[in-house]
Amino acid sequence: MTQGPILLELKQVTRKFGGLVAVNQLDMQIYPNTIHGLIGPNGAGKSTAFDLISGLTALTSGAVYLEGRDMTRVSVEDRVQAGICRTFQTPKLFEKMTAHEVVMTGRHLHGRTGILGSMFSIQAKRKDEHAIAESAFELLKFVGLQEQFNQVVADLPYGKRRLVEIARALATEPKILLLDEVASGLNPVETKAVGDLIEKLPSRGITVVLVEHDMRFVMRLCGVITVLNFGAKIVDGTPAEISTNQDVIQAYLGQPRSAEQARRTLRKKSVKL
Amino acid sequence: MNEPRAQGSIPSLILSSQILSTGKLRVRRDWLIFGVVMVLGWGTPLLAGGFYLYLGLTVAIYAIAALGLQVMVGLAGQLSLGHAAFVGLGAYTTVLLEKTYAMPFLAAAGCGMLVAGLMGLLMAQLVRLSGVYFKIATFGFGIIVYQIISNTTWLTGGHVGIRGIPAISIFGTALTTRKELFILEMLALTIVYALLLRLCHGRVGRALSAIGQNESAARSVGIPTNAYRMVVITIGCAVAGLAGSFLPHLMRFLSPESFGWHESLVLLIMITVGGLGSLPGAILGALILIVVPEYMRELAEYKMLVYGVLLVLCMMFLPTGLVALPATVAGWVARLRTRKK
Repeated sequence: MTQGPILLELKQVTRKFGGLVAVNQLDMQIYPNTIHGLIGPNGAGKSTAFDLISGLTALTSGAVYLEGRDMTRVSVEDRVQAGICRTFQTPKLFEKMTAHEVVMTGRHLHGRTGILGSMFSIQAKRKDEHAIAESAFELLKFVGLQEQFNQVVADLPYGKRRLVEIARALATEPKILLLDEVASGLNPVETKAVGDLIEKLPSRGITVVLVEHDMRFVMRLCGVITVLNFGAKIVDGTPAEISTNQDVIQAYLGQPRSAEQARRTLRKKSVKL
Repeated sequence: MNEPRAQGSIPSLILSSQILSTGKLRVRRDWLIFGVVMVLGWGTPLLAGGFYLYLGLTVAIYAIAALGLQVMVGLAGQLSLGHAAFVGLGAYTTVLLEKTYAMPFLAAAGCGMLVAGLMGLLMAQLVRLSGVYFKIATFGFGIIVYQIISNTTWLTGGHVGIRGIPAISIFGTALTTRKELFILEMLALTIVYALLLRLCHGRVGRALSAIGQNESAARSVGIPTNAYRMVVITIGCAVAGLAGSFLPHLMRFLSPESFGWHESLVLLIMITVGGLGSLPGAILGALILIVVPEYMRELAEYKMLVYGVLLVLCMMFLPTGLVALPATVAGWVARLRTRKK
């Protein structure tokens, strides 16, 4: 499959909510500069896995390592500092800000002006603000929103809001970017554009993990796919391996009466076999 | 806003310089408003004198407290239901230090800010309580402070209050006239407004605003939200303490009644009616909520009713506050025009 050192590793990661085991002893290795898919039926624990990696939810047991460093008990902001950043299932923006300002918030850890500096410094603050504004604008250009930079994000259409959120996450300069259902709610043109954008990231040194429902999207982009069901991993492998795996087909469709029927249903869901 | 649409393949250079200028434009607009507010705020009471000067004295104090609360509540979204308690802490600390130790006003007011700020920092330790629990806790905190002030009779005189407040003395000179007191208050207001405006404009202000608008999103980009929440609560409370240090010198009397939950509510109505998140809005709100009741003294018992109606009307027709009145009216006009077509 892929070689080289592991960028992000999950070891026996478990999360229980009361009696429900949302993620169950999940092992996962993600290699640098790849696009890794995380799929599974509704309620399989994909989004919980993202919460656990990004630190928004604490693990019940297990461990998360970034480049060999134990991140299990590390706070969200320190994980961002270390290079883990995420987006949300529905974009969570700062509605009253312009697109440019939202992306500028993503540069927070790269700015230097403190509380006293904000109030009393003139020259250093101006320089800092200039640097933040410039780099945020570069990212808006990268996601193709330079014309909307000055629009309040509450007024932007859904697809553009997604792009603002991606640009904001990129502004933190992540090593690994977690995209939660980034194509949902987008029209085919927008989906294609976001796909093209994601494809460019590994060459910029950014590893991507995708949680996604749109199978065609996942199959197109991902080198490796991990399939979850009921919080546990069924299998990981290349798109070709996944699409022919009996356990995966069963997880998505239930017990098939015949292989032919399963294939027909999958074709309807536009999965190429 | 009509930004020229970039066409062709090399619009980036043009836009790159534009973007910095729009950022600067917003900052410049805020300072222009600052200038206008300050000219009116300094000028009107000093030129008109008399009753206007008295009104100006009261408005300036509440404007200072409202500015601190605005940054804390309007910008960073940390609702405090007991803010008047911190005004009270500043007031009592200042007066007690002046009376017992004959401390000069500036030092005493500094201590008042410090005490209010430290108590704010103590309250801020509760930020780990989620959502509504923190808000309820701030209400409780306000009540506790109020009860302590009214029950430590040996220190604060309890409900009887403190009389014989000494005149403000600065560098050995006593400020005896209203005009002198007003100038001192306005100096404080100007400095607080300018510093908080600068705070709002930079990286920290953006982080605070992000926390106020979507806390989990702010965390997700690495903003240490709990630390910033504690900082902004401390700032809001310290500024309230500064406002409090002036209050007894204006009223020549100090009692716990000025710092109950009712006063906390009035401060919140001020920033809401003026416009949540807007610093000039806080000052405008303070102006309205002080001046309007003064002109309807006969209806004093209905004061709270008037506040209530004002708040409801504002929420219905001007949810972004009075500062946004021009923009809101422009929106109505535009809608009417399209309807006619």
